[in-house]
Amino acid sequence: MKKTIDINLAGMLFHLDEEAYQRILAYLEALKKQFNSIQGCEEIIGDIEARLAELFHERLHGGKQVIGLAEVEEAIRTLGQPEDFGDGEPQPSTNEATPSGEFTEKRVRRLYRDVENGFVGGVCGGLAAYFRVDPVIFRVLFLILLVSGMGFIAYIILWAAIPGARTTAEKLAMRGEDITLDNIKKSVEEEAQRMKARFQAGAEEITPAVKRAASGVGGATRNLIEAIGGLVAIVFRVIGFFLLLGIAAAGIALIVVATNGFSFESDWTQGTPLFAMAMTVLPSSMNMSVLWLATIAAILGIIVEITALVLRYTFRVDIPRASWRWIHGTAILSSLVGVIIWVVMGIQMGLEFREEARHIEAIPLAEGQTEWVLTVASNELDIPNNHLSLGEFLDGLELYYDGIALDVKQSMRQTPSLECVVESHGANRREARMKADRVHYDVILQGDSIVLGDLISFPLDDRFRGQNARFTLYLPVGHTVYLDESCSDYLDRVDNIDNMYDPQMAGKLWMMTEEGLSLYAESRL
Amino acid sequence: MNTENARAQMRKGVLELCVLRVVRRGEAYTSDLSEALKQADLLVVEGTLYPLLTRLKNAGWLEYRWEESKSGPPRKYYKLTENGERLLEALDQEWNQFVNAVNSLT
Repeated sequence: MKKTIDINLAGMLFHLDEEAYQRILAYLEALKKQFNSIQGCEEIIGDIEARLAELFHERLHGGKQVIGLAEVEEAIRTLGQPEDFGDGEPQPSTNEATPSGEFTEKRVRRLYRDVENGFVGGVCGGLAAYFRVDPVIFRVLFLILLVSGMGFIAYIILWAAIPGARTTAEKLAMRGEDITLDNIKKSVEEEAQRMKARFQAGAEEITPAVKRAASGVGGATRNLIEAIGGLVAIVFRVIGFFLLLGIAAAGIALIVVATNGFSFESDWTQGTPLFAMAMTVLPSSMNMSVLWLATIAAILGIIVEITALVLRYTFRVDIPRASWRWIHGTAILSSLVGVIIWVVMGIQMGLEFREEARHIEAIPLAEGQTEWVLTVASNELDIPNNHLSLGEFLDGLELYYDGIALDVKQSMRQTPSLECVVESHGANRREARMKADRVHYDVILQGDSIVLGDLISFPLDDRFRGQNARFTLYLPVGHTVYLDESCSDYLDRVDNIDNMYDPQMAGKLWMMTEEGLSLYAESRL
Repeated sequence: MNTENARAQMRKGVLELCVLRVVRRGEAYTSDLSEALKQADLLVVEGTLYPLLTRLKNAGWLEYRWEESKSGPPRKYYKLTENGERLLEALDQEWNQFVNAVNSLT
């Protein structure tokens, strides 16, 4: 009794015995390899399958039920060997007649989508066929992932990247040979044989002594390859599988961050610092969604590209040339569009720094005082890295920025004063001026004490355009000022006749003299 | 010199012309085509035809229609398009010139 296998050729069902099945499988695989690079490959294979079906059908007329090796060989003789399908294009002929059974070349299982038996796109069925497990396992896995929102993306990516098994050759390849240790061993042995043959062929051109040695080397190499080869094949696939999982995870992470990003405008505390930074400098005509779409497009392109590469080279998925070009083109286009949007945004942002304007306010100080104390009061905001931060004001979002600088100069008049110069950049002078006007800063005057807030603030819609405030204390000769320790980070190129560096000036008492600011005491009196 | 090899090369060279000529006689199914060509000893294996037909069809020189078959799956019946007719006329001329040129060398 012989086992028979059912196959479907051009919509007709045939029972084949095992030998016939292996032979036809090899034949279709070889055909596919032959035509893979030709346009219309699937159509050609489809036509040939239809013809095979017809030839088999004729054979079955005599009451025969099962197609055996003889029928397959005969059909193949009629159709010819793939090598002879030269398509009329002259090509160097191989003058040795191809012995039948030449197609024992590897029939490694390949990853295809099981289009016929799939619920949606056949991704699970294909994966299951590849890993030789029940499709239910993958379906449940994807359902679980779907609940958490990840399965959808992973499925779409796989759907797009894995080709469907449409021709019989593909369907057979999908189920293909099992990756058992035996099969791996077999294919490694074949490889070793070929290598040995190469060694020997090379050696024949040298001396017989070397030839013997080489043959020994060949034998040794074979044993080595046998041991390692099997492991390597498995390891590569496992790595590939995890790489795919990693890519899926990266995609998911991206989407998660992106969706958080969209809600960012209403709740900034959930955003990442990097994201907050981007938001504060964005071109004023654009909002975050543009940046996000660009980022997603750029990263998605890369993800798709890597996925396709892994599928192609690790899982040996046979991506037809046309689809390959399509996937490749879409991925590159997607990344390119993303990057172009980034660049456009960058340029526009740069243009909004083009002009500069300032807003000046002179704040009179109490008369009669001659000894001043200058302090910088820290706002209670937790600002990462002393830079921009976002805060919520009653009327929309505000940006906080520790952009203040302190200076002390001699007053030309008899009275002291505090001058505040607020600067901003903008696309044009008017805009820069308006942005400068909208900057808020804190000054608290009480007796001899001058307290400055360490943060300036401005509306988020103004974006960060280099807004900063420079406070200059104009002191008449004879007045003293104690620069509190809290000033040390903000003193900026303060001229003094002791030539002391700014940070060291803090915590000391200074007096304005005719020559300039002079150290009066090392501490507050 | 191996004449069989040279002959195979020549066959390959004119196969396209031969296929077009057979199709010009009337609508043809692949095995009709292969039968006619085999009888003329211009074709060895049928498989050669499939990529050729697909290529000619994609180039717009041939078109086909489906016809149900009692003995198997539906068949494709090929015929020449207008473009194909024009091309074939040009190819006929080329072929005659070629034969004359080759013969003139004897």
